[in-house]
Amino acid sequence: MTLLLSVLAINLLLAQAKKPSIMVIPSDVWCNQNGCVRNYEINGETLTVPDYKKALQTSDQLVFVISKLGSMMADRGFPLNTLEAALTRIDETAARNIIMTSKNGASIKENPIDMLNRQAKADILMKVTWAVKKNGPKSYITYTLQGIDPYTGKQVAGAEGVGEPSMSAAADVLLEEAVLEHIDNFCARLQAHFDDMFANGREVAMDIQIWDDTSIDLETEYMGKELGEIIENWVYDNTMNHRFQKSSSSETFARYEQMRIPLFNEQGRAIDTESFVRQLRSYLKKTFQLECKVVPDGLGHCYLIIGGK
Amino acid sequence: MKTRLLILFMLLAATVGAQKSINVVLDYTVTCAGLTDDGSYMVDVECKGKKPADALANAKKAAVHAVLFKGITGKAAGCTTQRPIVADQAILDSNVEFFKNFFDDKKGSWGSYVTGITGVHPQTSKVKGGYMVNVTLIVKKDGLRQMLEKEGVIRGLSSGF
Repeated sequence: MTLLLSVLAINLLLAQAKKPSIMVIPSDVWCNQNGCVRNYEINGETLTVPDYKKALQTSDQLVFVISKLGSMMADRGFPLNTLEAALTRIDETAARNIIMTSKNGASIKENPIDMLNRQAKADILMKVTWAVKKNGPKSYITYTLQGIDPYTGKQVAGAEGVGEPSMSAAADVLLEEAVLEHIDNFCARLQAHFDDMFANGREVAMDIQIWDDTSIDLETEYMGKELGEIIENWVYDNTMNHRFQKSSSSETFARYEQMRIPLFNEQGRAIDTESFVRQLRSYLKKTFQLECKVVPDGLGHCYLIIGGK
Repeated sequence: MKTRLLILFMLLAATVGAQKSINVVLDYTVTCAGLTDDGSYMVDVECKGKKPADALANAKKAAVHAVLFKGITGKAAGCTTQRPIVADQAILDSNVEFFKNFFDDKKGSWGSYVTGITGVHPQTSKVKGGYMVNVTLIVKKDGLRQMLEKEGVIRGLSSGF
């Protein structure tokens, strides 16, 4: 028993939490101002989305900012995922899936969710915006760097400011100064976010949905309680300090936000939202014989779809 | 009410106590003078000492202290206020002995993280009780941060992952 407890304690001490991936991307504002967007017509409305590939191919300043921020973060022991590599990998995967066949002539099976997941994603997005402006003969730069958690939509770090006006400095020099000037404050805030995560758990979100071919919904009663209530009680019992927010709910949908989940399970193994929601799936199956499907969406967001696989 | 005031006073006393015990003249001003691309801050420091040499030594130590615990006050556009490396008072409180050794005049290594600028001389003036020095110095802030991470005093961005 003592040996088992010791092994568990050592496991917890040496365990490492799942590392969030970070990627620098140009902000939507920058993409729009620099003509790096694509327009789609959907139901008569124009939808404008950033065109990252065009941005990388046309702006040497963007490539410079991504490279500079990447090397500074690597110096701090946190190498970044690069946008260019992510876009290349997406193209390569798509091309490979088209041409790949088995010996029997079968193609790669791919559902719409797999296709949707093939996009440049990261657990924290460093959104950068800058513009070189003129004030008489002098040029100056405005610069904003935001660290966004895409799962919660929260800004977890940020730094912004206006550079010193200069008569002679080139735009690239002004940009480099801006990056240097703001990276420490940005990293300090990011560190505070990580410290908070280690102290209070990872902040994540979960969506509960229902397959349309099942008669069950979140108002279906089990042992005198509605399914929605049963799930809420489970979330209350399993979140750190019972911290969560149920932001919307109906008989067919519920969204849980600001859920603080532990970084490790009882065995000291690092967990993410998918592992956490799998525990809920096991509970529902074991206790109520309910089949559910877990669809992960990165470290911090997951779907639980009730009524089948 | 009295109890709250007493607790507040005790906390304040503990904070000042921890700062004082690390052998740094705390009466200084450190403002941003620029940034370098090798991971250093250029700072303008104003600090006092009994003799001109003491004032300069105090200023150098104050520059390192400010980067560690107080942060750098911004001055103009392009010189933003910078947060301290050790922003949490609890880290100082639990590592008083480490910082006491670090700022020790004989065996402390604080001096290796601050340098003057070639051709820039300190301006010294006589003031009540000694001398006041104004000097521009370079503090190796990335070096300081890396050393503290290595010593386990502060967490690095990738710590725990």
